[in-house]
Amino acid sequence: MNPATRRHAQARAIFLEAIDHPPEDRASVVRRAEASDPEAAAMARELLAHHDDEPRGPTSPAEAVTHVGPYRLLERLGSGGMGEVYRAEQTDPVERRVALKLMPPGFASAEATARFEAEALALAAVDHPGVARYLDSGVDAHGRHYLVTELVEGEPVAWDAPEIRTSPEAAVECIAAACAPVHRAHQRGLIHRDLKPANILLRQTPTGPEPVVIDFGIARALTGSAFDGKLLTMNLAPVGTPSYMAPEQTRPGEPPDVRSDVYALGAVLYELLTARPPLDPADADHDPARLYRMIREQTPRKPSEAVDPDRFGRAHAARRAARLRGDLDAIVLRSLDKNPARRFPSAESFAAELGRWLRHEPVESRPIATPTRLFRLARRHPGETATILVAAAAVTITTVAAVIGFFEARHATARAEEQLAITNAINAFMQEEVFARAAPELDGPTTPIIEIVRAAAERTDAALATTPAVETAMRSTLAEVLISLGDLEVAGALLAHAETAAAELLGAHPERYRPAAARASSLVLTERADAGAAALLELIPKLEHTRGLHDPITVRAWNDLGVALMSTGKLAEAQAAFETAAERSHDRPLQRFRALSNLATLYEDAGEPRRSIDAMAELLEIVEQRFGRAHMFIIPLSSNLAYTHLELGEPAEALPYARRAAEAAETILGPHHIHTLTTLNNLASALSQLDRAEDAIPIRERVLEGRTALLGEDAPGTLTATNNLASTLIRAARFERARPLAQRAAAGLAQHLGPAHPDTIDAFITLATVTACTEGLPAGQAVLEHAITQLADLGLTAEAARKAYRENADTLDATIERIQRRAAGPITPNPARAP
Amino acid sequence: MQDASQTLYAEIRRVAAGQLRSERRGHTLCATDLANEAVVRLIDSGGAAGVDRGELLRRAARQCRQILVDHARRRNRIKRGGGRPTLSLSTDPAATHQAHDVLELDEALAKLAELDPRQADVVTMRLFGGLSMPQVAQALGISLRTAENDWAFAKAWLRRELSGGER
Repeated sequence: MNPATRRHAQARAIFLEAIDHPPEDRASVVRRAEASDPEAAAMARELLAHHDDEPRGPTSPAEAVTHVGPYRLLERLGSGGMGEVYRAEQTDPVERRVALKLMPPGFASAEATARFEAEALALAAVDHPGVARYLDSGVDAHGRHYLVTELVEGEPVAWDAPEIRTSPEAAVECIAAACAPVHRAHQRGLIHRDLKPANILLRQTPTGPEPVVIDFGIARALTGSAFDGKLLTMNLAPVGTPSYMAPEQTRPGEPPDVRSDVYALGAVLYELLTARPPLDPADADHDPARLYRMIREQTPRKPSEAVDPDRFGRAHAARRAARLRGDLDAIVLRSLDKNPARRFPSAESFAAELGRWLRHEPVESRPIATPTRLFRLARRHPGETATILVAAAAVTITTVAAVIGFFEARHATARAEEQLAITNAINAFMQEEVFARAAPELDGPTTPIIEIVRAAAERTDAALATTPAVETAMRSTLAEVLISLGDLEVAGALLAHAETAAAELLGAHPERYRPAAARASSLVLTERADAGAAALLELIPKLEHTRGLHDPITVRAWNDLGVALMSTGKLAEAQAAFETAAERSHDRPLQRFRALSNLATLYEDAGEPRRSIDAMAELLEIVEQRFGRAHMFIIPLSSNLAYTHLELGEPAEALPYARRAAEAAETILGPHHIHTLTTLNNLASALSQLDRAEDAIPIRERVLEGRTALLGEDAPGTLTATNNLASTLIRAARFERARPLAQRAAAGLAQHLGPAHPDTIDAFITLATVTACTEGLPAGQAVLEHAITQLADLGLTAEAARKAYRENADTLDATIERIQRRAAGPITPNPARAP
Repeated sequence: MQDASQTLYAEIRRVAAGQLRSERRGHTLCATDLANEAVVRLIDSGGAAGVDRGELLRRAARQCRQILVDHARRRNRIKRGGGRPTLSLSTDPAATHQAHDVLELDEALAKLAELDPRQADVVTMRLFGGLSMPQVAQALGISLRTAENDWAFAKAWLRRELSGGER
């Protein structure tokens, strides 16, 4: 053995002996070895500085621990920073297989123990088939804590699980189902903090796979210990798995709440749909500082643009992307919003939205109605299908007119019979192939429009053998409709035919560039927004030349150019394109509707609420004129208008919109629908802020009653309604009724959403206000102090906790003064303000 | 045996090619599954009859290492600096920031192989082959404890080597 290998082997022995000791004893192990082999000891000392203390043992039950308490360990299922999990066997008092989690050895301080036990108790209270059941916990002979839960037999959810790989619906169903147990745990005050595919197992049941969430409370118990001081070196990194970690979890001292779990569920859904996580740690080169910055700042791509073609195969990936595009993109990105306030407020509401998507109902996450929503609605409500077909036919009829006009101009001698023949061919096609299919008596009420259009597309060859111009126009029209409906494959085939024919036969005919424009638009809808933008930029001058500036196809190209620019982040250019489209479609409401919807979104994102309001107001007008005052779209549009005005502190402007939203919701959805209650809530807020508390109170009472009936007494939605009622009662100086309500809301929200949730903070401010009004300012401030202490208990620094309340606490005395002024005289004693 | 090995190599190249295509700038190459997938396919296809699975895994891991190194060299020629593939010695996701350049890692591993070939094998299989510790132990015919000890020591050794701590 040469000296180098010998020294290497010696150093290995010293090194291994040292790492079997706790870090503080290692130096003395090396010192002892120094006497016999100083060189190897020096090398071992250097190497120890590079040791990462990843858990090595117990390497297997056979070699190390075989029993923990009354449990016999059978097999190690996994290990990590959070301890080790074993399949274990219990023999007494009952014989059963269980999952046993051994905490890491450093996990032993009194506070950590207390926290661990509190979490175990909370877990025991959850009791939901979708959460691995708590069975036991304790400390083994070596002083290590363990937690025993039901053993869940199942594989972690994964994009390539057989049920999920083939259908995005199955992925959505799976996450919607996983929301239920998570929500139940949230109601018991338990936040998971480390939801990820490995923690969501699919249990096979007779009715199909069912998600079960494991490891609840573990992350919480461990993070708690990181604030302990003594254990600070053990785990400085925020707990969580970077790909699924919410931005607030990367900020030390900022306590996660239920919406951090909503984020993680959204991230898992993203991965199931696309086969990649929303943010890839590799993009930050695994550097924690960059990684956390990325989590805080980088918006993930839309799921439809992230579907991995290498994993799903090109054809399936394209179909999948088409299915995700639009509503599901919006839902998933909302769950992943950097700002928790803009996410779904609870796992339950996330599940409800996913349910709406699965049932083809309009979703809330795209607040501004767009033509896509129109089509989605049509799929669900065949009664409205006719409207859609009229919209599609409008384009066709314009085309017919254009074709005829062309013939008239070109062939002054064109015979009347010839024109008639063309018109008849088109009419017959539309009637027989398109409209007739929408008749419920023929195909039943559920034939989706896309099937109708697909069938029509197959018949184009036979039906349209008239002239190249008519053929091109018809194929393009059908392709355009198919593109709107998301079927790019069939559309692509139609356009390929049409483009070739147009290039060969049409010269400078208005229809010449139409198939190319449709193809460019379809590029915009797929991942290739850049290519789409380039194609449209080249085509637009040609379209303007052959069809005119105000032609619908030209205007549509401008709109789609805007969409492409927006998705590549060129917002200023996108705005110009949309504005061109909007300007040139004054007399075509449906087209203008499309451009304005996009502008409204763009303005909203750009932080220009005023311009967004203008766009939405006009959209509302268009909808009322086109579809009447009882149309579904009225609800989101007027509700958003009311909300934006309220956010701007303009209750007077908000009021008429809030009223319209509430009226439309009551008519269309009925008085008890959850959305109706939301619109009523906005209406009450507007009234309340206008100092019409007495008018607002009965509405608040209705909302509270409705939500109690729909959601139950303890649901966060019901508790916020309770807080709202209390707050309005205070404005009316009805303190004695307000106070118990404020108390119930604050206590309930703190329990169910956690003390750091904005709704909880809001409820404590209400409680502080009513206390200050009845018992004086110091008593009110004491309530705030108490709430701040609760936040500090979560591990938040006193400074950060105070900051969460500061803005509002500062205005507490101003609020009281205002209330007293309004109440016309000092209703209550207020010692703090006495001279 | 020769046949099995060649088939295996072709299979790994194919799987690896699929992975490298989807690589982005500065992407840490994920070797996990690369070797496993290739071996599973080979065994499924009957192309490795009579060959010990552990031996196959060991070869697969070495070949993955070679592929990644070739890939890194190629990239290095095309563009100096950024974009070279990296690997992390840590399996703890919270510590994956300690990523090392594949070429430097390869050189250090060659040095380690001179001092202790088994330790180099453990690292190659764990890191480039994406094998679990029990798989590594089984493939090398050593106890799990020994494999984990080799891994812990070799990691520290490599980190010191790569940090320029010693020549």
